[in-house]
Amino acid sequence: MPIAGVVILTREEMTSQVLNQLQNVENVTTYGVHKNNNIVAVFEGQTPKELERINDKLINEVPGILGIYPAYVNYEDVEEQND
Amino acid sequence: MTVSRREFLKTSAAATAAASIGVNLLPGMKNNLFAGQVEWHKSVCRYCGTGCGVMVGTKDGKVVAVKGDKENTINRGHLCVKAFYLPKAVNSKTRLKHAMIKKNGKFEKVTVDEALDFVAKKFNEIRQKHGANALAFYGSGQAETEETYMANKLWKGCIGTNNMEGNPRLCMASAVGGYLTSLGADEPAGTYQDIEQAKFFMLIGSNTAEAHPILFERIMRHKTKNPDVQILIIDPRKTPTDQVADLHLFPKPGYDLAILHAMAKIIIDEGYADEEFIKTSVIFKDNKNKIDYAGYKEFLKKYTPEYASQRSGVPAEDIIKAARMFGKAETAMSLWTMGINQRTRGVWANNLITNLHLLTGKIGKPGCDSFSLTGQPNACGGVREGGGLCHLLPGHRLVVKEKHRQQVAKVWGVPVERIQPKPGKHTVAMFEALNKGEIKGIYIMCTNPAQSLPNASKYWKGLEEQFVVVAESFFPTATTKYADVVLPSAFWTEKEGVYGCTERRSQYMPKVKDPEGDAVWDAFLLRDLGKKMGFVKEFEKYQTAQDIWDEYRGLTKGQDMDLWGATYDRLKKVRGLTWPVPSEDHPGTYKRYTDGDPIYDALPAEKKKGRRMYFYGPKAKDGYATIWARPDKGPEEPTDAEYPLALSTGRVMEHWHTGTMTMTAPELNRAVPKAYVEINPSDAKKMGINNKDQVVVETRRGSLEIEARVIDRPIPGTIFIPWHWEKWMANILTIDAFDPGSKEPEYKVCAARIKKA
Ligand code: SF4
Repeated sequence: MPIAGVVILTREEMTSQVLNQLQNVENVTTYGVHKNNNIVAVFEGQTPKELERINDKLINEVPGILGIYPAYVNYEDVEEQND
Repeated sequence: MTVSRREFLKTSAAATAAASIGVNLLPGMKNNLFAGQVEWHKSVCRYCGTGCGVMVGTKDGKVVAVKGDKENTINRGHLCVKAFYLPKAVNSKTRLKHAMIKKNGKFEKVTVDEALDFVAKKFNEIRQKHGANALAFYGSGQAETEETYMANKLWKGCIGTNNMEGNPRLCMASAVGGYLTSLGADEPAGTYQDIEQAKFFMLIGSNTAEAHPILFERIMRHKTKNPDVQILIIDPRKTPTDQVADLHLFPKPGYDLAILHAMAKIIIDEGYADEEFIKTSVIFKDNKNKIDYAGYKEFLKKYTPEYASQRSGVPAEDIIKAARMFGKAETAMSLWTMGINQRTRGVWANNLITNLHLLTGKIGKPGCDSFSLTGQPNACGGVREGGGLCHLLPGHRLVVKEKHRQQVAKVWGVPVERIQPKPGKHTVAMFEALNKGEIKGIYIMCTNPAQSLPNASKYWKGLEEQFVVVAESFFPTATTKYADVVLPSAFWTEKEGVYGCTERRSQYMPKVKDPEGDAVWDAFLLRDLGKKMGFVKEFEKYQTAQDIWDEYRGLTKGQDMDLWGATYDRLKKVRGLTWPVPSEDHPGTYKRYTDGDPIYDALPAEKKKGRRMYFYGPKAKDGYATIWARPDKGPEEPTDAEYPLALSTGRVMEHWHTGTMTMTAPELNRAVPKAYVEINPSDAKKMGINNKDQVVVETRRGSLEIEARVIDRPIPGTIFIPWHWEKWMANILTIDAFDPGSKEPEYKVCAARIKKA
C-alpha cells in the first residue's frame, strides 16, 4: 500500500490558492507551506495506481503547480501495530 | 498508545519531504523515524543521466521504499515521478528469472550455465568459420561501467573485433564529436554547480522539464529566487519547459543552425564578444581549414537575422533579442539534448552552441558552460569514458592509436595484435551488416534495438536471421522476440557497480538484495562466457566488482578523465566524485581547463601565461579551443508536397526510452496509456482531424495508425510522436540517415503526412 511524501513547488503568488485546492483532493494530506512556495504533502492510496493518478490530476488540474517532487515512497504492506 | 502504522508512515513521509527542503516538521523528534523498520542504502537512480542520489529501503530482502538522497548535491533529496516507480520495476512481473534457448521457434528454460555453453560454442564456431568480425556486441548507457568494461575486453581484446557498440551512439555521439572538435576533449568543462550561478540559460533542443525534471527544478528554484535570471528556449515544440521561458524561438525542425550563426554575428557586431579571450584561447576553422577571425566574420556576413529568419521561420527581431540576451548576460549556461544531437549535422549544431560561449568567453567561469545533457544514467561513465563504442578503448583512448592499444593490451593481458587498429562498425552499419549476413552473431546487453533503432523494421530481418543473444532483466521485449538465447540479468539493487552521470560524476551503487530467480550480474555473464570461449586466463582473475573497477581505474590514471583517486572505498562514502580525480586525497574537479583542474594546474607556467583557460585533449592543439564556421545544413529529408509535415519524436515525462522498465509498472502505463500524435490545431482544422480521431501517419519508411491529439504544442507544419511504445512504434517512421561525423541518426526530423484512418 503506497504512501509518498512529496514537495509541491508552486508559483509564489498562487501558493495559498494551490493549498486551498489541495485540501479538497481526496487522498492528499497537506503539511503546510514552507519557505514561501513549497507545500509538503502526502499522497496515499489503496493501490500504487492511485499515487500516479493523484500526481497526474494535480499537475493537470491545479493551476500554479510548477512541479511535484517525491522525496519518499513506501510500498511495504501497511498493517496496524502498537507503538 | 495505539497508532495506526499508516499514520506513522504518513508522518514519516511528510517529515522526509519537509526535511528535503530543510524544514523540521517534528521538532524535538530525532530524524530517523524509520529506524528498525527499513534498512537504507545509498545508491543512484536507475533511469536518467541526471544521476540523482536515491536511498533504497529494504526489508526482509525486498526493496520496499525509496527516498531522495538529501546528501546528494545533484537532487538534494528530491526525485521525479519516474523514480516514484523504482521499487516496482525491481519486483515487476515481467522480470526475466531464468535463461532460455529457442528450439523450434519456442523458448525452453535452461540453466544459465547451459545457455552460456551453447552461446560459447556458437560464437566460437562463427569466429572460426567467418572470422572475428562476424561477431558483434551491442551494449547500453544503462549498463554499469564494470559491465561495459568486461564486454570491451571480451570483444576487442579477446575475440579480436571492434564491432562493439552501444546505444549512446543513438543519443549522444554528436555531443562527443562536438566537444572533441570544439574543446579538444569529450564531456563538459563545468558541472551542475553552474546552474545556481548562471544569469542566463539557453535551453536548446531540450524539453528539460520532462526529460531532466530534477535539473529543471534547480533552474526553476534558481529563477524564482533571482527573478533577473533569464531563460531562452529554442525548440520547435511548446513543452512544459515553457513555464519558465522569457523568450521562446520556434524554428522549423532542423533549421536552427542559421539562428546560432546569426546570434554569433550579432554578438560580434554589437560588441558582446570577449576579444581578449578570443585572442588568447581560440582559433577558427571552416569545415576543413584554419581561418582567421576576419575570415570567420566574413563567413558570418550572410547570417543576418533576416536570412536566419527566412531559413528557420523565427521572426528576425526574436533572433536579435535572443542574441542580446546571451551577449548581455554576465554569465551564461547552454543546455541541450537530443533535439541537437539526433541530427545529420548534430556535431555541427553542438559546435555552433559552443561557438557562442567561446566568442563571449562564457566558459570556464562559475555560471558559464556549454553543457550537453545525457539521456541514460551511464552513457558518459560506461560508454564514453569506458570506451564502449567501435572506435574507442577505455579511458578516452582510441583504437587507431598504437600507443593506446599497447597500453590497454598490457593491462588486459592480451597480445596487442588482437586489438584491431581500425574502428569496427558503428551502430547503423552494424545492424546493416547483420541484415546482409556479414555479422552472424550478436550479443545484445540491456537494450532494446528492435524498437529503438531508427527505421526499426528495416533491421528486424538481420535479427531474425542471425544468431542473437539477449541479456536482459525483463521479458518479453521487442528484441527478445528475435533472440536465440536469452540470459537473465541482475537488475539495479541486485548488483554493485559505478554509474557516471552527465556532470563527470562517478557514483557507486551497492547490491542490496539477491537477484530474482537465476539472474546473474551482466559482468559475470560476460566473464563466464569469455572463460567458456577459451579465454580462461584472461577472465578468471575477476572475482568481485571491485576487481574490475580497480583495473579500469588503473587504465584511467593520467588520462584526462582520471579516476585513479575514485576507489570503491571512497565512492561508498561520498556522493560521487567529478573527474579528474587523480589521487585518493583529491576532492574532484569542478571546472576543467582552468584553475583548480589538476591537469591545468600541472602545466608549465609559460603555457598558462596570460591565459585563464588552456584546452587540452586528443583534438586540442597548443591549448586552443576552436570556433567553427560550419555551413547551415537543413534536415536530410525536408518536407515536400508529398510529405508536407515535419515529424519529430521524443520522450514524455512518465516514460523512459523503450519502456522496458517503466511499462512494467502498470501505473505508468495508465498515466500515458497509449501513443498519440500531436497536431497543431491549425493543421488539424485544414485536414478535418478532430482530437482523439484515429489517424494514419505515413513516412517513406512506414505507417502507423495512432490517436490524434490536437494541441498547440507543435508549431504548424510539424507533428510529434512519443517513442516509448512497442505497439505504436514511432521508429518504424523515423529516418536512419546519420551524421557523417558522429554516425548518430536523425531521429528528430523527417518528412511525414497524415490522413484519417
Ligand atoms: S531526474 Fe532522472 S535521475 Fe533524477 S529521479 Fe528523475 S529519472 Fe531519476
